[in-house]
Amino acid sequence: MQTINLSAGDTFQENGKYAVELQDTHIFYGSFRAVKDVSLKIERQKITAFIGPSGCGKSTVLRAINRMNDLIAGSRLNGRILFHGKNIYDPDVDPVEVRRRIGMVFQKPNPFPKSIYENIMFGPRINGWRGTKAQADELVERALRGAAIWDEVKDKLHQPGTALSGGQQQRLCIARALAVQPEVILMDEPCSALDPISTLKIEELMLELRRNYTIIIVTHNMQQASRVSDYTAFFLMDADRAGQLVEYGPTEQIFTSPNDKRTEDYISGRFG
Amino acid sequence: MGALHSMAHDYEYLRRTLDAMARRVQSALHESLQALRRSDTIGADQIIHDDPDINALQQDIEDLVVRFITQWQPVLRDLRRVLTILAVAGELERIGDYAKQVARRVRQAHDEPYALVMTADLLAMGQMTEHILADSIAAFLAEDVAHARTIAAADDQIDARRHDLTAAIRHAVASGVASFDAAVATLDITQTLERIADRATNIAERTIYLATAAHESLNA
Repeated sequence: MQTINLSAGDTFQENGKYAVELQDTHIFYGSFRAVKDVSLKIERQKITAFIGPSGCGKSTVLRAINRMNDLIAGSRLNGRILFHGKNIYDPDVDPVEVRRRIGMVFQKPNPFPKSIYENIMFGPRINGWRGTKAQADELVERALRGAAIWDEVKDKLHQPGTALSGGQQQRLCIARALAVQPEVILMDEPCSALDPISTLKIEELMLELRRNYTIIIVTHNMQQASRVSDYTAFFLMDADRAGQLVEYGPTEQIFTSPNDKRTEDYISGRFG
Repeated sequence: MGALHSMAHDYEYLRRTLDAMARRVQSALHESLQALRRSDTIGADQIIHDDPDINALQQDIEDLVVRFITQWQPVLRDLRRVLTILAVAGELERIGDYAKQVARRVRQAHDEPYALVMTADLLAMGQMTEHILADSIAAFLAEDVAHARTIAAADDQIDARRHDLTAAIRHAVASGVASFDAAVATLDITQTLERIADRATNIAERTIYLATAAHESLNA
């Protein structure tokens, strides 16, 4: 397999203002169509929120963006997901490279049972890290600073990551994602297991990260979507139980005057 | 569905409290006009005495709105509903003050004493004001945009009526029919009634905002 070859020059010429583009995407688990005909352009260096009731396919779409669904037996995708103009589902694309360029943070913080330092170095090492100890130290510090957790952990880098609080663990996981220098970060309900203060810290961090990264977040918290995101996509299950995109637009518009009655009903808590 | 039922139930309670406040304010306006018609100082004093009850209802509504937002975190139309109820309660409170102002003028005319002039015209204007207020409240409670938009024409009629009355009062003073004090008091009542109509127009504008999320001025 070849890796996608994307120079910095290609990045802006090929994709322009969009980091990721889904075209006529259908996603299947075996014979079951979980997602139907989603087309969506994700703007670069913005935060896009995916909202919708449970089972509407939003996490499936999110995981499709870095080929995480490949790990589920029987999953299949029709359509195209473009990253730098390249369909990431083309046969010549290495999914591991896709996941390096498009990182992911999960619902529950999942640090490896290793030290904080080794959690950060794990990604670079499996990607063939060849640097010196001083360069590794620098990389760890840069990633932890990027995730706004450096000051809290700098004196205990060799203690287990699992000893941190839930909110700190989640920021460690974000730091771990940053360590391999992704361009896009996918977040699947990153705050649902956190207390309100830790949640606000993650939200502040997201707004900070937006300066350098494109972020896509799945959230069930409507206030969170309205607080942090620039764009919102609302998904809903259709009569065949397949998830579909109902409405996509600037968050301010979706949360003040949505075009679709179903969006208004969901955001108002009428169902879901 | 349980939680949604509770939210609807809490909203209905809020709406009924506003309805009760609106009825108190309409009654105060009606009674102040009756006091004007009969030069009834007892009726006027009663309106002045009862005004704090209207203010208390406004405070109750504020407390209910704060509790509703805290408990239900409403958005979109649900949020606009409670925010407009808050705004309309503010308009009603001021209308209550205007009714009290008419009552004060009745009391003052008796105490000074002097005879108010053109009371028949004032009462006709007062009746128009009562109608526009009733219409705006009905449109708001029913969230009826078409009804709310009809308020603009009624407000224009009241403005025209005030203009005519001002000219007539000026003429009455010039021809020696009205004393200076009576003219000032009569002008003040026309202005007060016109302001009530303006507040009613604000309520109609809130109704349109509630239903459409768009701000529309009816005071063109």
